[in-house]
Amino acid sequence: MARQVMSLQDLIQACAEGGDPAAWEEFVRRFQALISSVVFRTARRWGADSPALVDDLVQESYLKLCRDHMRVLREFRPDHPEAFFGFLKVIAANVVHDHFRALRSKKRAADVLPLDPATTCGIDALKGIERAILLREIDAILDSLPGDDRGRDRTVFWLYYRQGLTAHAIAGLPTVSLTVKGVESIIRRLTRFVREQITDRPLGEAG
Amino acid sequence: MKRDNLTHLSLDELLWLAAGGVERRIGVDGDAVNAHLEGCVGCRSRLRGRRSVAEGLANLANALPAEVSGHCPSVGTWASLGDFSSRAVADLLEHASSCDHCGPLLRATADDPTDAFPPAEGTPINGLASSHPDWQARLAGRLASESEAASDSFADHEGPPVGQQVPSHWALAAVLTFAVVATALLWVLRSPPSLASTNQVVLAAYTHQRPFPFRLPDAQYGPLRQHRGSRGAIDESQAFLDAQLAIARRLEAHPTDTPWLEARGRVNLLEGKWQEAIEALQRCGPAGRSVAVEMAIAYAERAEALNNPADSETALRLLGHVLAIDPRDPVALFNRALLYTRTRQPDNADKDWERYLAVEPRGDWADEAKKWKELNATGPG
Repeated sequence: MARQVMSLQDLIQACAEGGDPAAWEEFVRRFQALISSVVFRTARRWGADSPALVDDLVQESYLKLCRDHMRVLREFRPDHPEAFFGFLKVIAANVVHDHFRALRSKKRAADVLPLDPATTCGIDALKGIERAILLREIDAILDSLPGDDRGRDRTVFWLYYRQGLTAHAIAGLPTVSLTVKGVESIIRRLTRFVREQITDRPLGEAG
Repeated sequence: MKRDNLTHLSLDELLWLAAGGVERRIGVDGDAVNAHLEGCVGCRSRLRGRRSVAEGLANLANALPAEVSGHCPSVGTWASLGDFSSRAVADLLEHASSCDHCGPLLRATADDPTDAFPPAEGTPINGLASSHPDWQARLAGRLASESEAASDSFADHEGPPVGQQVPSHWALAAVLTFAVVATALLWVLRSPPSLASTNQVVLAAYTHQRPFPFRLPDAQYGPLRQHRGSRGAIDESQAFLDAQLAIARRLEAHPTDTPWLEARGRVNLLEGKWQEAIEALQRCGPAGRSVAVEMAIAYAERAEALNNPADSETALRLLGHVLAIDPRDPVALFNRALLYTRTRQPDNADKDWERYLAVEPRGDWADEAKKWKELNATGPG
């Protein structure tokens, strides 16, 4: 059978059986855009997207499929092909995160720390605390929301602001049961509510 | 009708200002709004707060992905949410929304790769070496070899071919049992001190000798002592020396192990090595409560040693952040009150001593706090 007209199921099975370069070549060709897009976007969020690095991480993502006895390929379910695409995306993103986390750990161990307190405490430590303060403050405000949909609305809010998902992506999640406009409406409403609660304390009260 | 200059800004007026305050908007008298703003401290503060909230929200998603925690499901979960019940998915999404490890993975599955690049960027992936057939062919060759090896190993893992002889069950069981018991014995006899026992020794040393007046998180009360020589010098018992050795060994093998770095920071504090303490605690990364308090102690003591007010300010800022998260944190309150007392800010000190005693009105620490409060009230000399 020509590789190019192979079904996804047959292609994955050929790769899982091992030792077929042509099957793997077709596999790489089919998923190259998907994996390299995820790697590129994820690496960019870490502030680094050099082509050589992206190529290395793309390769690493494919190699990860061969680990653990190629469990991912062996457990492919033809009735849920979209789960396989999702899994490739997760693997690629995780490879990038693991790479930069390992780099950050090594860098932290090797850094010589300056004496100037303005650059220490890190500034990292303070930013982490400030972020934690803001998250906690907003979460307390969201806790005070009335209505039965408070839990769902709060999840939508954090998926949007803290995790950076678009309204379109949130609407597409299973069980969210909202249109894109519905998601946007929740985000607008909660954002206004949070801003009002944080900034509109009665004048004269210490902040 | 002209806007009354004495009336504070409405929400719409604040929103207009936060959006830039330039565009004409119905119902907003720009000149009058700006005139009021110039003369009203309260409204300026509200506007600053609104802008900072907007900025804070916009930057929330910029935090770097975190390490996995004990509550995180397996990585593959995010690719197969459709396999779970509605209730389970709702719980998983709630987890992902507040987890900086799982959230980025969920985002990766939810992102549409065809939406990857804004038009101005073109399609940078087309320029990658990995987009070329030659590169892909080389990778395919490697994957074929690795998958063949993985496939063979999977067959071995499944079990030996039918007919191959295996040792008798009883003999195998005996060998395995011996191996397990021997390994356990060796582990017990040779295992290094645990983090918990190391921390216990360090905290006990603090309690016994109280080398500085600030409270160390998790430590029991120890009375203040007069120290000869440099503050913070501690008499090193054998247990304390063993603890230091355990920390050094652990960090040699795992230089970024955060809890052990914190333990080293604590030891440095007890030894009066303020700079080393700051360096060790900084390497812990984004500071949790105890690390922030310990770092504040290091800065406060370094300020005293080097007569550097900037270090005191840093210490106060750190303690302020801890108290912003938990205003009733007794250790942070005690230490900040003490630092205000030391830096001769009696009003601030008095307020914090009051706050502390409202949280912990009784006990050894409270008794000491009352003496510090009295000292603060009577002033120097």
